[in-house]
Order: sequence, then C-alpha cells, then structure tokens
Amino acid sequence: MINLIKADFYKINRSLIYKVLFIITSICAVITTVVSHRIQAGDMDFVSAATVAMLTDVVMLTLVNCVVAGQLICGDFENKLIQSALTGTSSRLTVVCAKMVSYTGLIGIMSLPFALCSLIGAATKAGFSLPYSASVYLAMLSDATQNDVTGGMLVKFAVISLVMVLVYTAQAGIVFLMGFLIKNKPLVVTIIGYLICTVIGMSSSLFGDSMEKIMSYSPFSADMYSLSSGSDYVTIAKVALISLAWIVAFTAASFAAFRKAEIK
Amino acid sequence: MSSIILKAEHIIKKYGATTVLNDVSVTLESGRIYGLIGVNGAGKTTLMRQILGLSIPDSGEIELFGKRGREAAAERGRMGCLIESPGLVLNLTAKQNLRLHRIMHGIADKDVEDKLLETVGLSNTGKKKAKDFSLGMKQRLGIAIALLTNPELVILDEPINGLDPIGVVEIRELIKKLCDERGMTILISSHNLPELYQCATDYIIIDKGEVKQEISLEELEEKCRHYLLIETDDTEKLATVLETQLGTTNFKVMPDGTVQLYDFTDERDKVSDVLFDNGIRTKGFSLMGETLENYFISVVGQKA
Repeated sequence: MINLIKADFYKINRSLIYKVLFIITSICAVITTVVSHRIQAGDMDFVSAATVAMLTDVVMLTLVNCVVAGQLICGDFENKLIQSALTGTSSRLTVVCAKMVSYTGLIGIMSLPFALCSLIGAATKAGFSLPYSASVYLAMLSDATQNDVTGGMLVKFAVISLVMVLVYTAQAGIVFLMGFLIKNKPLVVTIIGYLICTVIGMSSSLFGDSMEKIMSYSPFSADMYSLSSGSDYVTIAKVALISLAWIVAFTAASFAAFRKAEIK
Repeated sequence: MSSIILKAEHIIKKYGATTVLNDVSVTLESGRIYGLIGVNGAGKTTLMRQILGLSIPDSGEIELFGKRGREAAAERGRMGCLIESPGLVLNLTAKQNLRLHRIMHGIADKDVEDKLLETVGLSNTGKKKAKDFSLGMKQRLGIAIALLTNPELVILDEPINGLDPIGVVEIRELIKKLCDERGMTILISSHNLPELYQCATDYIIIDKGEVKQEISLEELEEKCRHYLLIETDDTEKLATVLETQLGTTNFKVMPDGTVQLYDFTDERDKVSDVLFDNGIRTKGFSLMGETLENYFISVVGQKA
C-alpha cells in the first residue's frame, strides 16, 4: 500500500492542478485572516466582510476537496494508473485504502494554509475577530487574541487542526465514494459531489431539531465546526471518532462499489 | 523446456443479455508469442481483461503460473500489460512516467528506467512530455511500462493499432527481441492476421466470443502455402520430370494422385513448357493456396 501512496505523491508533486488548488487555499487563508484583523482593528465592518465569507476554510475546503477527489480518483481511472496498480500485485482493497490515505494527506495539505495563517496571526499578537461562524481556524485565532498564547493552547491548536483534517475527509468521503462509482469523469464527480455536500450541509437547519439530532452524528453537523481552544478534549475526541467512523464507512462503501467493478 | 503459464478454462462473460465470452478456454506455454486474432468486438480485450483481473468472469477459472483463485491473483506481479492505450500521465516525461510506475510497483532498481527506455528506443526523449509524443512513442513507452517488473508474461492489446508501417515493424521487432532475449511469453491481440504474421509463433482465432481455432505458425504457413496443383494420369513420370528436369524435390504426391509443387509458383509457364516437352499430359494445372486474410475469413465464417 505504501508504494501506491508514494506513487500518488510523486504524481501530485508534479501536477499543476494541485499546486493551483494550494495557491487558491493559501490566498483565501490570507484574505480571511487579514479581514479578521481589519474588523478587529475597526478598519472594516461586518457587512463589508460578508463578501469574503465564501473564502473561509469551511466553504473553500468543501469545494477544493471535491476537486481533489475528482482528480485523485477519476484522474487515475482516466490515465489508467488504477488499472496499472491492479495488474500488479495490489488488491482492490489495497487500492481503495491507499487512495483514502493519499486523499486524507492531500486534504491536510490543502488545509495547511488556513492553519498556518491562524498560527502566524496568533504569533503576531495582533487583534483578530470572528466575522464568520464557518471557520474553525479563525475561531482559534480569535481565541488566541483574547487569551494569552500558552504551550497548552498551541498543542490544542495542532490537535484541532489534525481533527479538522479528519472532519473534512469524512465530509468529502461521499465524493470519494462517487469517484469509485463514476470512475473516469472527474468534472462530474466534482460538481455533483459539491452539490451533494452543500445540500447535506444545509439539511440539518432545513428540517428542524430531529434532523439536527441525526446530523450531529455525521461530519456535516454544525458541532464539527464549533471546535476552538475552549473545547475540552472529550469534545475534540468525539468529533475525531465520528469523523474516523465515517471515513471507515466511506472507505468500506467505496470498496464494495469497486470490488467487482469493470475497469475500462 | 516449455511449461504452461496460463490456463483459462471455460470462461463465460456476459454484459446484460450479451454473451461476450462464451466458454473460452486457452492455454499459453512459456517462451512463445501468441497472436490473439479477431475482428473488432470478437472478445479479445475482454478475454485479456479477465486474465489481468480488470474484469471478473461470470464463470470459469484462470490458472496463472500453476496457481488458482486468490493465489493466482498474487501471481499477477509476474505479468505486464498494455491494454488498449498505455497508462500515461501526459504532463510527465517518459522517464518520469516510468519512475511513477516503478514506485507504484515497489521496484528499487533505478537503473531499470534507463535500460527500458533504451530497449524501446526512447532514451533520447529527454524533457519532452508524454503529451507531445507520437502515437508510436506512446505505445513504446506503454510497452516499457509493461516490462518494468521484468514479467514472464506480457499481454499487449492491439499495440500496433493506428501505427504507421514503420511503427508496426518496430513494435514487431521489439516483441520478437523480447521473446528471444528475455524468454518472455507474449500474448498480443490484433484484428488483422497478416499484421501478426511472422511475429507470433501461435495464433488463437476468436470470433463472437468463442475460440474458433488455435494454430501454430508452421500449421498456418502450411495452410496458406501457395503451390501448383498438377493433375495427371502418370504421377510417377511427373515426379521424375520434376526432379530431373526442374531439379526440385519440393513437391508432395497427394493420396488422390495429384501433385502439389511448392517451387516455381511464379514460373508457371516454365513448368508448363517442361511438362509439355516431356510428354506429360495434364488434366489440371492451377495455382492454389489461401491468403492469410482469406484463411482468417474462412475460419471465422464471414464473407470478404
């Protein structure tokens, strides 16, 4: 399995699309951090800041992760790298698991600019506000502004950043599954995947309390974005476990879809 | 000594109501080049995909290197393949593509990249990306990828499809070289029998999902051999004249008394004159023998 992951990252390192996506998330992370600072400093109001709400980590990473799934899975069906892996000694289960590990790694890389901007922002000790609820990293940055930055807070910051990678992977698990179902149509997987993620994300607020309760056990719950330096480790662990369970479920579902699939 | 490396037994594959492979059984022995011949849609690629595990048969079994079931799947590392078009990342160079597959297959030897590029004649492509390669270059790179694991069995699906005549000859020579120098067994498909003639040592003719015939090169040559068919009442005298006057023993007296003369097929007038001069009265004198195309058509039962 390790060979397949290494091969994935060899290819990713030389692929333009992943570099472009990383630059986009970096720009978004810088803009949202700067806006957060300007609001705190009184240079900008909340209404003006609303225009950049679409650039927060929650919104951007949902979109970027759908593109990544399309490229990583369907792209490899298109250029026949998955066929090549299967005609070697790799089993179909190995291929699915390796792809999930690579996918999680890529989501981690795409999330990195948001985490780094928050960390650098906290180190500057400049003031930061929380203009958008849909941003875990800005919430942590805002917390750091209001409290003294301690070693414990930095550890929690790192733990929450890692847990958020699991949350985003679990959310995008449905797109991962679609990649193995639809196979060689990256654009279709990206667009439909993004629509599904968005609709599921909104459904908890649309269908009231009962739906919200059900959704609280899914990675699409609003609770998943409520992590901050104030969160206790039990809450963080709960979010991590729910996300891990969903990642395992989506990996298993992807394997079930791929187990006897025809590979063109 | 040759040994059986692949045995596909009674393979049936259906897509919906369409039976694509119907009770197909083939056996491949080591060190030989098998030509899998069939028209488009005959089931060649489907059969290859069953062997490679890219598709799972509805029934039947595939034995690889003497192993069956799950154990057979583990033996797939001893195979290399090029199915339809090669698996290339177009923004990578030839060497980078080879490296990607080398990493994927866990091959530590980095030198294998240069050796294989040399083998397939792509060592001078430098920083040129695969997207700028000609079709022939892409096919050769695909073959290099198929050879990365130093496989014992190489499966090539229509590798000469769409190539110009020079490209066809190059690939043909490369395949023969691999078989001769590395002792590889090669299964190569084509929809055109003459295309594989003299490249393959054995031919499997498949049509409408069924294996119609398995034939060796020698048998094929025998069937497609051109000869002069001479009918006369005095077969003994005819044989003597052929030996003494034309200086040939390359003829066969058939049980019905006719003689098949394999020489002088392009000098029929000369033969005719010699027979006349020696007083041999012929009842029949004609050029016989099938072309490769006609033979293939006669096997698959289609009109030309």
